[in-house]
Amino acid sequence: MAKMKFLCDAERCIECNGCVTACKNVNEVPWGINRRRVVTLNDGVPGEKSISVACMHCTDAPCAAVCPVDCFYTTADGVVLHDKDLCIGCGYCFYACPFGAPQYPSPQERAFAVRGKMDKCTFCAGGPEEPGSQAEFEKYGANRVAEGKLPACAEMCATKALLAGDGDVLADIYRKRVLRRAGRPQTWGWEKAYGADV
Amino acid sequence: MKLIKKSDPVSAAESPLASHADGKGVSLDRRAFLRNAGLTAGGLALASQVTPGLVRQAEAEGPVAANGEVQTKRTVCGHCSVGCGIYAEVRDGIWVGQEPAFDHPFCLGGHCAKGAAVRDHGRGERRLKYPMKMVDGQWKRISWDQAIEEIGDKMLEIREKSGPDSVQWLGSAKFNNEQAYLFRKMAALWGSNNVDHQARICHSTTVAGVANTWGYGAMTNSYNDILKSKSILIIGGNPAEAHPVSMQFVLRAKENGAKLLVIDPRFSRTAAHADQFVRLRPGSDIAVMYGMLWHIFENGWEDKEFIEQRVWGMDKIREEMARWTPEEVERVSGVDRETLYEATRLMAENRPGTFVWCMGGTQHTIGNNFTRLYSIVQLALGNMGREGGGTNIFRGHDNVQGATDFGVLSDNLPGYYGLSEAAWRHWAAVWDLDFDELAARFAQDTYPERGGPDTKPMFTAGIPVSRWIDGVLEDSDQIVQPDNLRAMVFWGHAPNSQVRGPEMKKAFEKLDMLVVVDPFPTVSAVMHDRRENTYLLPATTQFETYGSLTASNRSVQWRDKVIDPLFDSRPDHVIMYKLATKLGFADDLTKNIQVNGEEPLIEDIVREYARGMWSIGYSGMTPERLKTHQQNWHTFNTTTLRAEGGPVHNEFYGLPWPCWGTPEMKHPGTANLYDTSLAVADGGLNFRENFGTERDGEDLLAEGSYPVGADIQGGHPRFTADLLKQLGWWDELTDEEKELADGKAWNYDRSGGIIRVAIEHGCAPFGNAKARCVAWNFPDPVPIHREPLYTSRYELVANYPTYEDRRGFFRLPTRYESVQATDFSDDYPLIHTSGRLVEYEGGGDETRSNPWLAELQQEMFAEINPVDANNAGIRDGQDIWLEGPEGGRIRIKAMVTRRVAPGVVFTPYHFGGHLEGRDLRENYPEGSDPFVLGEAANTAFTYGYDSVTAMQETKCSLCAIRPA
Amino acid sequence: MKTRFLFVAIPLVAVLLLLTGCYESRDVTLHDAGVYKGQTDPLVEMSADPAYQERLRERLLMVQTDR
Ligand code: SF4
Ligand code: SF4
Ligand code: SF4
Repeated sequence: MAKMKFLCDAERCIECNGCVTACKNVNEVPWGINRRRVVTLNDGVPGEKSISVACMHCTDAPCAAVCPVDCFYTTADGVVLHDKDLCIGCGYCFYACPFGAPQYPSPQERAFAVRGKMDKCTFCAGGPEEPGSQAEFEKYGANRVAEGKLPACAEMCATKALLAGDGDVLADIYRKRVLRRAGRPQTWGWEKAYGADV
Repeated sequence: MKLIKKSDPVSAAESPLASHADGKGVSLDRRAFLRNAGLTAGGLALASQVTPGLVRQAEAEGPVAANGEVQTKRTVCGHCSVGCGIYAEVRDGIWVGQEPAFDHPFCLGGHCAKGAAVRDHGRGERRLKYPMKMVDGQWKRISWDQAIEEIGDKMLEIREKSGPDSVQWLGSAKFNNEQAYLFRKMAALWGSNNVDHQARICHSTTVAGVANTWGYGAMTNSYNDILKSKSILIIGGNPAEAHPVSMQFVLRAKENGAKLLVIDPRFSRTAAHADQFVRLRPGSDIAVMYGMLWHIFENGWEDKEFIEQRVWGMDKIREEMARWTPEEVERVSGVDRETLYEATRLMAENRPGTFVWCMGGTQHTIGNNFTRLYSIVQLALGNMGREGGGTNIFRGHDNVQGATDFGVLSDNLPGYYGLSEAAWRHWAAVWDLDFDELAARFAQDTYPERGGPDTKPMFTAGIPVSRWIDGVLEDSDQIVQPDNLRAMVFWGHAPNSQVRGPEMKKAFEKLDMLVVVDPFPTVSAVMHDRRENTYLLPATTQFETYGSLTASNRSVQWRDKVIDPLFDSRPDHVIMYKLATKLGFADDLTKNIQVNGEEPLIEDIVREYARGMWSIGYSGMTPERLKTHQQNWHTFNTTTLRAEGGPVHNEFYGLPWPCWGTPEMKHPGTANLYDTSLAVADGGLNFRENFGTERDGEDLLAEGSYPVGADIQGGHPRFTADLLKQLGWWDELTDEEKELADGKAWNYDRSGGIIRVAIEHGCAPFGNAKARCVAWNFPDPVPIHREPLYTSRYELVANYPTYEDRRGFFRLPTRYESVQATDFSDDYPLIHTSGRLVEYEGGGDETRSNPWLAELQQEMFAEINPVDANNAGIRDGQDIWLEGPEGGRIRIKAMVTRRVAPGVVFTPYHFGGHLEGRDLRENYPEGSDPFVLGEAANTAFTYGYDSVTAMQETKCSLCAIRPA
Repeated sequence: MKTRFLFVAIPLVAVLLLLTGCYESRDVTLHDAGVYKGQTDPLVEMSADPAYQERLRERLLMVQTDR
C-alpha cells in the first residue's frame, strides 16, 4: 500500500522558493498564508543548508490527535486532510505540529473564503468536497492527485530537491543519489577539515 | 532542527524580529527576517489590497471544463536566460493553469520562484492599463492615437532642431527576437545609432572580450552540457539565485563526481554548495586569474598541445603573469597561496572543466580585461571546444542573448556586423532599401573638435544606455553629435538598473520628452518631478504575443501566445509600427513584411532577418523549423540537446547558432562552440579567423587542428569568393549564387553559397585560426589589473592606476584618472557591491508587481558583516542610511550577516520606488504601483565605465553606513 | 438623538444575546481523538484503488527523476 510522503534533499535545495510560489499559483493561496516555506540553517556561513517544509502528512498526525472537533482525516495513501466546515480555528494543531504547518488567516484576509479557519498543505489533494469542484477549490485549493498529478511544489522544484509521492519510490530515488554521492563528501569544508579521503 | 514560524501575521510586539533584536532569536534566516519585517511594516496593508482574483474552476472530469475547452500553450518563462518551458492552460481566453513541462529539455519541469509564478502575468493586476500622459503633474488617460500623435510630433520637432541623434531609443532584452530586430531597424530608419539595451549593462564586456579572443561573444556550451563537466568554476556569479534551474545541472554534475569551485566576494547560496569557496576582494579578479595561471604553469598543468595548435600570444600572458607571484596576488586580492593552489589543482585535476561567470565579472571599468583573462585560463587548461568544458557565460534576461544578436546596441547592427559602410550596405540590401537614402536620414556632420573621429554619426557608436544621463547633462559642445539627448524612450527598460540616482533625476527633469513603453509604469514614471511631456504606453508581456527568443546557450525557442493583450496594451511590434507610421517610415520598415492591421507578421520578420544574419548563423532558421522544435521538446536528449528520432532527428534543440547557411542546408545548429570533434555540418567548429592571418610575423592560423572531416587540415583564413577561386571550389556555386557571392566574404554573401561550399568541404566558413590572448585593438592588449575608480585600497593605485580620461568615447567625455585622483576611502570606508535575489528580476517592476513573489521579499536591505555593523552602531533589522561617495544615499534595512566579508556591503538591485528616503508610491498612476517598493541600490552607485564597452561599474564602489 | 438610539439598541442587543443563549446546536462535536467527524471526502475511497495508486506512482517516476 502506497504511502504519500515528501522528501527534501538538502544537498539539492538552493532556496529558490520555486516550490513556494508553485503552491501559491496552483492553489491560489492568498497573501499571508504560506502552506510551504523554505527554511535555511546557518544562513550565510559554511554549512548553510536549506530545506523546503510544509505539512509532512504524518503517519500518526499530532494535529489530528489534539483537534478538539476531530476535523482531520487521512486518505488511504496517507494524506492528512481536514474539514474547514468543522474547524474552529483554535490553533491547537499549530502547537502540536512539529513542522509549523498549520496557518491561520488574519482577520483582514478571508483566506479561502472561510474566516479564521486553519489552512495547510493538502498534498494538492483538496478537501472533503467533490474532487475538482468549485467548492473544493475555493476552500482547499487544487486537487491534483485526483487528476493523476502530484503536488505542484515538488513537480516544479528547480533542482528536483523536493520529491513527493509514494514513499518507497522516493526512497529509491534518494538512495540512488546518495550512492552516487558516496565516495565523496558533499558537505562544504569536509575535505578541507578531514582530508581528501573521508 | 528548530523551525521558525514565519508568516503568521503577528503584531509588531510579537514579531520574531523583535525577539531577535533582543538576542533571543536563533539562526533566523534572511527570508524570515524580511518576511516578518515586511508584515509588520506594511504587509497587512498590502494584504487587504490583494484581491482573491481569478479562481480556477476545476472540473470533476479532469481538466476540461463545461463552458469552454482548456487549451494548452507552450511558452517559455520570461525571467532569465535559462529559458524554462511552461505549459500554460487557457480557458475562454483566461490563463487558468500552469503545468510543469517535464519534457522540456532545459528545465525538465523545474522552475524557480519566478517561473513558478508566471501565471500571475495573466492577471496583471498592477499593470499599466492605458496610455497615460502627464498633465500638470497628474496622470491622465489618453487614447493611443493621441499618444502616438503627440509623441511623434514632438520627436519630429526635436529632429528638426537638433537632429535625429537627440532621441535615445532604449530597447529591451524583454523583446522577442523579431521585435528586437524590428526595433534596431526602426532606429536605423529614424537615422541614429542612439539605440541600446540591457546587454550594455550586463554582459557587454563579455561579448566584446570573448569575441575578441576566439570569434563569438556568447556562451560556448549549454546548461545541459555541464552534466559532462568534471569541474565547475563559478566566479562572479550566483546561479542559485540568478539562474536557479541551471543548478539542476550543476548539482547533478556534482553528484556524478564533478567538483564545484566558487570564487566570489560573497558566500552566496551557490557557494553553499561548493566543494571549495574562495573569497576575493571585489574587483581583484585579474590578480586571482593570474594567480591561477601562475600555479598552472608552475606545475606544468597547462595543455601544451592545445596551446600550440590553437592559442596565440600565451607567451605575452606569461610575461604579465610573472609579476603576479602568490604574494602579490594575496596583497591585491586577499587570496593566499595555498587556497589558490588548491583551487587551481581542483580545476587541473578534473578536466574537462567549465568556467561560469556572470555580472560579478563584467561590471567593472576593466570588465573587458576580466572576461578575456577568464577565457585565457580556459585556454591554458585546454578546456575550450570540448564537451563539459567551455566558458559558460550565463546571460541575464530571457532574451538578452537574442536582443544582443539582433544588435539592439549603439555600436552594432544585427548579427554583429558593426557600423562600417559595408555593414550598412549589407543590411540596406537585406531591407531592400537604397543605401544612400538610408544614409541621408542620419546627421551628416563630423565633430573632430569634440574628440570624435572623422566619420559621420552613422558609422560611429551611439550613446549607450549606461551613459544616457551624460548625453542629457553634458555640455553639448563636448558630445560627438549635433546636440544633447532631448527625448528618451524607455522601451522595456528600467532606469534603476543604471547608476548615479541623483544625477539621473536631474537628467529626467531636463528632458524635453520622456516616453515609457512598458507593461508597467516602471521607476521612470515616478522618480522625477516632471509635470509635462511625459508619456506611458502600455506594452504587453511576451505572454500576450508570440515569437522566438534565444536562451543563454544560443538555442532559439518558439513561444506561443498564451492570452490576448490585457487592458489597452499592445505588443511591442505593433507599437513600433504605429510610431513608424507616424514618423513616416512604416513602409520602409515593413517593406517585405506582411502587416495585418497594425501588426507586422512575426513569421515574415524571421524570414527577413534569416536573409541577413549569416555571420552568426541565424540564417538557417525558419518559423517552421523553430515551431517543429517547440512541438517536439520530448525528443531532445537532455544532456546533448540532440534530438533522438522524431521529426527533427539529429538536430540540436532550438538550432543553437550558428545554424549555418540557408534553411535548405538543414544545419543542426551548434551545441558546443569550437568543438573540433564533430564535423562542421554536424555542429563542429574551430576558433574563428577574425583578426588577420598574421601578427608580428607570427601565424595566427591554427596549426594541425581542424574539425573532423575538414578538407583543409589546418588553419585557413575566412572564406571569400577569392579564396574559393584559389582553392578551385568556385564552380561548385550555382550561377545565381555566383552572382551574389562574387567579390564578397562568406558573411556578406547573401546567397549563402560560400558558406554552403565551405561546409561541404568540412570547413568553418569563418576560417580556422588560433584564439588570441592579446587583443591589440583594446586599451589593454594584455589584460592587466587596474584599481576601481573608487577603491578601498588607495595605496594600490600607485601600482595599478586606472586609465587616462578620454574624449569622444561613445560620443562622450569619459573620466577615469580624474575620479581616481581623490581618495574617498576615509569617508567611505566600505566596498559597495550589488547582486540579485531569486524572487526578482532586473529593475524589478514586473516581479515586484507579482503578489506571489512580492510577498517573499518585502524590504530593500543591505548585507553587512557584524564587524562593520558593530563599528557603525547598527543592529540587525534596523533602518540605516547607505551613502555613496558621490552623495547618493538610500534608506534601507540592515541585514547583519557573515555572508559578506568585513569591509564589504552588498545590496540587491531590484528595488525602486523610493528615492533618498522618499516614498514615491503616490507618483504611480492609480492602481499601477508595484506591491513592494524600496530604494534602488544604484542610487548610491557611482561613476565608472568599462574602457571598451562603457559598462557601468556596479560591482565595486564605496559607501558609508550609519543608523537612520 | 444618540441616547434615544441607545435606548433601543441596548435592549435589542440584550434580547439577541438572550436568544443566542437559548439556541442549542444539534450537532455538537464531541472530542474523540482520531475519529473524523466531518464530511466524507470521495478521495478517501478513490485513494484505496490500486489503479489510482499506480497512476500516481507512474507520474512520480516520469516527472521527478533526473533524465
Ligand atoms: S503539496 Fe500542494 S498544497 Fe502542499 S505545499 Fe505543495 S503545492 Fe502546496
Ligand atoms: S523549489 Fe526545490 S530547490 Fe527551490 S527552494 Fe523549493 S525545494 Fe528548494
Ligand atoms: S527565471 Fe530562469 S530559472 Fe527561473 S523559471 Fe524562469 S527561466 Fe527558469
